[in-house]
Amino acid sequence: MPVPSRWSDIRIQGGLSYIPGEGPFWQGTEARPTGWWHPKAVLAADFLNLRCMRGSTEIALASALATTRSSAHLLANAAGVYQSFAANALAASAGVGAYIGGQITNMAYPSADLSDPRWVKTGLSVSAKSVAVLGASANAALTEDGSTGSHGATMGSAPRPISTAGLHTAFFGLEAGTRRFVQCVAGGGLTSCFITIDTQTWTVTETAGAQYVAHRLLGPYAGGARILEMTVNNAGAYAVALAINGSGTGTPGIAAPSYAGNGSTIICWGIGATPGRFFGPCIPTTAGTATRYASDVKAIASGGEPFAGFAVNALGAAMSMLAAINLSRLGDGVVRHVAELSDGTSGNRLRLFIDTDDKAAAQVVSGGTVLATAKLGSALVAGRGVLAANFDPANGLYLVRKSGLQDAAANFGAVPAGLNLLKLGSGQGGLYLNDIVEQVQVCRALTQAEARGWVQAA
Amino acid sequence: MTTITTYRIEDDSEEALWAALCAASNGKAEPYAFAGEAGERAFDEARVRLPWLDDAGRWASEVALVDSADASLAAMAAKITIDDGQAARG
Repeated sequence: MPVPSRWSDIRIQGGLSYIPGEGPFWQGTEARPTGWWHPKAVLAADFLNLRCMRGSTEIALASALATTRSSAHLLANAAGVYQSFAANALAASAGVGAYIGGQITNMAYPSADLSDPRWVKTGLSVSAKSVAVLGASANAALTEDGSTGSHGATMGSAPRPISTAGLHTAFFGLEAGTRRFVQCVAGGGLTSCFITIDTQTWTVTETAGAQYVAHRLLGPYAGGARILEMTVNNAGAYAVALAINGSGTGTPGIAAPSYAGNGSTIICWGIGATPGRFFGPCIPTTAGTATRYASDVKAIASGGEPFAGFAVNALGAAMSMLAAINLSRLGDGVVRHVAELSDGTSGNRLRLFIDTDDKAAAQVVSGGTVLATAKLGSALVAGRGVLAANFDPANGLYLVRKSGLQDAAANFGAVPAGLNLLKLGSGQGGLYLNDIVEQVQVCRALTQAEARGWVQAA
Repeated sequence: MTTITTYRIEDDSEEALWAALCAASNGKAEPYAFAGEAGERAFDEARVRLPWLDDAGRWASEVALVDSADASLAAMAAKITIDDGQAARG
């Protein structure tokens, strides 16, 4: 058995003081190898691989993290098929990560069966569909008739238009049919905000309307399915509609694209509408609205280690957070928490978050006063993001991001006492990530070089 | 098997509804409703459906509890339903 070389542990300036995958020599050879987590980690949650470490021992995710959510939750797995997670079960899938989001109510119903008379059809027929789940074998085809005019379906009198003004987000689950273009409509009056999608290339060819705020086109999922999320700021009554578009050029609204139909189709497997900026995975509805409750994911305190009192636990008076996230959406102007260690209030906390301008930030708050904020200079981009934050009074608050190794630092006096509540994907006051968390690790304080080394390797 | 007990709470105003859920939170480690950072009315979104104005013009909310029950909620509930928790609440 090879003997670990002490020479290999001698720190090179700016480099790691240990071999990645092994512990530093001061832990002793019995501590090697440390596995997939950082050698200084006291808790590591790897949602991408559905594994967890606490106190140097691998344990089940559910043994280390408690999830509160009073409803089931769908999440597409790596094959693009929805898995259903029971109430109080973390929605996490191998190769994907965990979706941690706030409460969403789908106001549109039924969400999959557009043949239902509560959806008002114009110039088309709809084959019945009963399951609003990705990967289902029979999806609803919207088939245009031979009339000259518009061809679409809209919320009718039963799935009522949402009467309140404000931000709303629509969900359209689509697949390609025989007609190339589909027009997704949402907002007040159905005439002022729409997006046209080319279902051959799955590109957005047209975005129009003063009420438009943002959109994201997700997928492909099983069977080539895609999801369009579209947020509008409607001034009055709100509704959603889906229209087949014969020309690919827009005329706004359900009364749109007038053309002579020839029996072509588009496929819709789910539709939804909710107040707010995010929708996330599909929320099936049948005879009424349905709510997916927020997911609150917290570390379980275990005999004082590691989160039963920040000042007296193994972390000492400083700590670091390492995180990998996968963002499908930005530009919403809201704070989104990645991780937070607090005393159960917003007045005393260490937090790693995305600020309203989409820039990653780390912050120390004590006694209701912000002691220090380290914020990166440029915004995160959609896709995978890797962040490391050091909350260390001796060396300052330090935040580093993988892309371009951007970093930011600020000084502060001391970590607030009594921090014992670790939340992943959310923080005090809600402020959910509403996206995918791949992993979070909580460590004894890292050096800046160690933080940079981790984000480069992660 | 998981059981979800859902308590539908109704009141004349959103504020009254929030106050009722705050009262039901007394003595509990995890409150259903509480004052937010800026003193705003806040709810535990993992268990409490955010209030909405129902067809009769009354403010409604639902508290959904997994494998547990709450007598104080039962005392004020307009309706109680129990299901297996396999579907999102309708």
